[in-house]
Amino acid sequence: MASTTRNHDRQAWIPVLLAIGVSAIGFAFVVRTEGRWAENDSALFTEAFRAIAHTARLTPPNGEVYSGGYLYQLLGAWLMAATGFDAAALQQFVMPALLGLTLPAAWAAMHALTGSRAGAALGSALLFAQPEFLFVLLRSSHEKYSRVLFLLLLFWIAHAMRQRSAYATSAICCYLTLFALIAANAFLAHSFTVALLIVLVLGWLVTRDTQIVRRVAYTLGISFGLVYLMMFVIYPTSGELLRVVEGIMQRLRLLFFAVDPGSTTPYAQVQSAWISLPVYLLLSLANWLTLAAGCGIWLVAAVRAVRGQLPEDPGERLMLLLFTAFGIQGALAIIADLSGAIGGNLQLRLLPSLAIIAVGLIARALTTWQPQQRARVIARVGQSVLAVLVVLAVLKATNEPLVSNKWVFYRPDELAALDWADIHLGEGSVWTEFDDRLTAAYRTARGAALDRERFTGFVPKVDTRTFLLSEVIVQRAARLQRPVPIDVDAHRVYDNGASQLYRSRAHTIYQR
Amino acid sequence: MKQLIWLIAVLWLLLPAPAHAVSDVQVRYVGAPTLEELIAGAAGTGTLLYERDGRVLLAVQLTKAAGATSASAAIYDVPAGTDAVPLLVEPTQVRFPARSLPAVTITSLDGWWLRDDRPSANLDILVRGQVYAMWGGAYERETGPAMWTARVQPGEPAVKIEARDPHGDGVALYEYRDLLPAFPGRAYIRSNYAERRCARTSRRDAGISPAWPFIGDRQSYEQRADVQSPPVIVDWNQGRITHVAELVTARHQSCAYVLYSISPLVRGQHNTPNFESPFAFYTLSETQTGLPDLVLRTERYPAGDPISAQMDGRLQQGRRAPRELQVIRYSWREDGGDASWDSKVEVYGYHTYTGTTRLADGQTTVDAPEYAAFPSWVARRSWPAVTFVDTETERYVSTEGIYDWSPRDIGLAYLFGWSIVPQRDLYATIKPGLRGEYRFTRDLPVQLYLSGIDGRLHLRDAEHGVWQLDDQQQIRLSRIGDTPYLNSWQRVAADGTTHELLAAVDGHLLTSGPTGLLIRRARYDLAQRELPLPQDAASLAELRAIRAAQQHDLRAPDNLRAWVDRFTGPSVVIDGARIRHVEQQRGVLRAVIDILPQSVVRRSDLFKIPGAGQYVIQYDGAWSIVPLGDTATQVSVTTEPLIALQASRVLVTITRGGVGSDRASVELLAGRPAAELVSIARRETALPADEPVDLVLGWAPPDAGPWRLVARVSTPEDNSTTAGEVTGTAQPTNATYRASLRAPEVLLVLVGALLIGVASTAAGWRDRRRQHG
Repeated sequence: MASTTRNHDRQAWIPVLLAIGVSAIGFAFVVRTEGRWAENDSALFTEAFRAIAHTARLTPPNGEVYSGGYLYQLLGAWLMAATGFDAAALQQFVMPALLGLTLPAAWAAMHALTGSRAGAALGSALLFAQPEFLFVLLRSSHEKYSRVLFLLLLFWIAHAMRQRSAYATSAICCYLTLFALIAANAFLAHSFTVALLIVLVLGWLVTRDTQIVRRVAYTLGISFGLVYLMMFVIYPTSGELLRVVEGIMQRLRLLFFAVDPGSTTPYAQVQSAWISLPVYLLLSLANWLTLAAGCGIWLVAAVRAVRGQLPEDPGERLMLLLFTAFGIQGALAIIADLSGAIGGNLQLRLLPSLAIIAVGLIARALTTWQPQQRARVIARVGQSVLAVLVVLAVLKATNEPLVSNKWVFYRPDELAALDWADIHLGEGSVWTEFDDRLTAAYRTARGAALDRERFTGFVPKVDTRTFLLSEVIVQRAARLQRPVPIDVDAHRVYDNGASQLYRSRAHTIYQR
Repeated sequence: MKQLIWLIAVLWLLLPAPAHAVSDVQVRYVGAPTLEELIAGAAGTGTLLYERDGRVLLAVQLTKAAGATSASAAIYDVPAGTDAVPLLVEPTQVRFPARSLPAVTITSLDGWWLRDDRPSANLDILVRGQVYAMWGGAYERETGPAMWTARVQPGEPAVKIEARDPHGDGVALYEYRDLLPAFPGRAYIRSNYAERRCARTSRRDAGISPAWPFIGDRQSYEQRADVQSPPVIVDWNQGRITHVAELVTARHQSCAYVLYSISPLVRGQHNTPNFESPFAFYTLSETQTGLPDLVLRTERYPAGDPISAQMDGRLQQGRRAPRELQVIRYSWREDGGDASWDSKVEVYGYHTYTGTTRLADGQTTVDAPEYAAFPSWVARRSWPAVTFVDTETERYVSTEGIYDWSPRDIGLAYLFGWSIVPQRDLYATIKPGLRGEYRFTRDLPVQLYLSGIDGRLHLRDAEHGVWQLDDQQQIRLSRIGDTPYLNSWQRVAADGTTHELLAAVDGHLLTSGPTGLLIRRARYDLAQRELPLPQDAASLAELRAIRAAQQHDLRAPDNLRAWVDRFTGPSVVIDGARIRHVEQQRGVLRAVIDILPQSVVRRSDLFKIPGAGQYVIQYDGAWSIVPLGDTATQVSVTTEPLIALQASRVLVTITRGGVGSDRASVELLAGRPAAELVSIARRETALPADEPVDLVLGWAPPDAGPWRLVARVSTPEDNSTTAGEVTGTAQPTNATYRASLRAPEVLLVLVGALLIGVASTAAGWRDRRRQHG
């Protein structure tokens, strides 16, 4: 009895250890970039924080409005008011450093899904070894918040199935969480609700599990109601996005898979985004292992189900059905992506959802596995492998410049040059980089330029005659094996020692 | 019997009063006050029914409340899918269904409709549905509504019109139209203001019924010059209101100040209108025809105007014009307005409107120049791109001036400073019967001049011109040497063959044609007279007088030799010889001539003529003649040491022997030695004869290794292309990524990974050991 109590006391430290480990990763990201990092989605939300804080309106008339939902930017504006941090500091320092606060939701969800503390520990640890999951939690977009809500939703649903007596309480909490998820991102919530619909249909067709079917059916009806209430009544901006998307296929895809229209396909970017394909595959190892293991467990369960051997544990049944549902969504979205009809970013959108469920399945399978021999050795090897996977996931999720061609850090001298350009250049746009690294940085650190079309990335625009050159850009050019597009006889019009601005010579009277 | 007579009399009185009718549409009136009383401003309600074949195709309910100062007319047409206006005619009134909405509602602020045979012109009008009631909309007779008109929903308020007649002469002095639907993202005209600036002499068309002269059937939005038609236009086959026509016509009267702005004009504010702001019509000559003889059509975009991003959407990709800009078409007719035009100047430039022009009796102001000052506003300013078009043999008919050859055709990319290559292609030809000239390399005020050589009006400082004689031949005009006046004429066939040329350089006239060449020292004036743009009655009269005086003395374009024959002086005349090229470098006149064996020397007053051959003749105060040397174009390419990914200077040196080129095109291409070449830079340059030209271009090799650089030089004069090339090896770039990991971040990641790894199985194995234990 005393031994059991001592074990429980020691086990109470496990989530604390995990939280410290996860927090260390968050801090590592901040320290590595010195807090000077930016990417496009986070920049959008930083501007949205400012807009709400300045206007006290969810949809500021002239400010940045995120059409998918309002909760994250509202939270940001509130934090700005409550703490005195400006939006950039909040997004670049505070939010990544708070990574550890996401652990309780992960722990709770894994505990409810696997039904054991061991499953919770293993599942939580495996989750943070998933690079795509870590990526969305590290960057400062709504997903930092909506993925936590997603985990809490899983917790409430699984908890409700296990705790028959407290069903009503779980259901109310579930709807509140869902409502928060809808408010954070209506399309992600809709995608989740559609997954529940698939669970309902599969549950009814395959498992004949009336318990799951009945409860999911209730949840489903109310969930769809809440989603549409948000989209068309409470925050019609999210519904507006649906209306402006042309084409039924695009609308359906936006609605069912939460995939932004017009975004670029991730498959084509793999080759160019990393220093080599083997490195990319290595960094994504946890993804492949998780998906492969998840699929394997699902296949075994499917074969058993065909033989009439359904899992007894309600959490396992739920996970198998959800894995099927997100798998179907993912497969359809991949087909849609590869068709080329519309762009997609499902790698980022759907992989975390599928990975969360797959991790739950793996954690449950491993914790019910009973190795008769060398259990301690297996545990040590497992811990080591997991630690390595976490390191690889961190390298991938943070776009570590040693291995990634997509850089997210910037230097103060680069922003100083852009500040000068914004104030002193009369007309025309300024080329900043081979991608949106510095346009996102400027939006995050400074907000919109005086001329919103001033800074441009990727290829120079038709009116671009001014070019930024910095030490980082020179190194980036070397990494990408692309020349900096500056005329050989361009005038150097600004130099702060580390960054310069060049302006193409005037060849006509219209260029003076 | 007496009772029967009384009954007939009562019934007669109860019968609707017949109104006047035009064509086969019958108009009758139903109402308590008589139509005459109601029209004259009495209180009450009555309805005019416009019928054909027993069907009511239009109903106008006239209302004036007791004590009210205004009267209103609600005009109902036939709803879609029906064949008559839904209404119920009772003996003394007409009832309309509660949900019926009038297509047009007119409010007379005078409180009456017709007095002293003058209609009320103080009107507020609301137009609903698919009615062409403002410029930019359309209604096609066969297909129905088009443009924005087709996008309006049935019954939706579409256009609001205010017309005012402060002088009470029955014709509005100004009108204001606003497009009411938002039509987001579409560059429709949102506000239209038209103001009459002098008396209108047109007669009035009473329309379908003179009793209420606001309904007509002339299917046009625009008014005519000589007739003021009723505003509400109906297609009587369908019983549908198709137009609410101009109350103040823009184009069909002597003087008008008009704005067509895509940005809405807001009453009571100082506005910055865009697009056609202003569009001004003038009568400068004493001959008052009821039509303008000067029209200034502006296309204006204020600085930062989002609409400017749609000037050329494909090019601009959402980028706005770099500065406030104007394109102003300035067309005039010298013999009085008759809807045709003699000449135009069109200017492109960047100026800022700073005016405070009052509109609508001071209800609002705009920053556009005021009506009377606008011609001089244009004439006094400098413009970097200018075109000039003169009608030689064609009568150019339009209501908006001469459209051909806008300076915009040179390309917005060039004019915005986004490209250094102008698009001259559209200036290679012009409609037969027109002569066009252009300049776009110097920022100068517009000045015209009368040439002493061809007797015609030209644009000073024009760089080139085309006089299209017919489909088969044109005269190309250009400048040789440092002169602001055109001094070279080349009659060229459609296939590019030069039939005849004439150059007037440094006191000499040089001509060459079918009969041979003639070079004559003569006294001539390239510009007999310089003239400003016609801005007022005096300047137009002066221009007209000068042109009239020249009219009988115009030189025929098919015989340039005859132009030279008018002058006398020492000459060289050689039959059967020709001049191939004329140029002036650093003040020295230079020409290349071909003398054939069969050529016959008629005169040789200027220099001695050697035997047959090709010669360069040169005049630098005295004539000299030498045999023509090598005429080939030499192109050489050299580069700095090439380094991958780093821009290196590429020097292209071009030497053209014997015959210069006005405008050579240079293209630099690069590629691997055995691979296809890719164009990396283009330039245009003049190539004087026997004088090397250096061009410095830049190129960054995308990778290390051997590369081939080729420069191609094309000259339009002889349609030839010459190339030079160099092969070099690019060294690998020195730049490398120097990222380094620091201890704190490495430590944090390792600690994090370790803790997560350790914690992962801590609970699981303890549980299991407990189970086994």
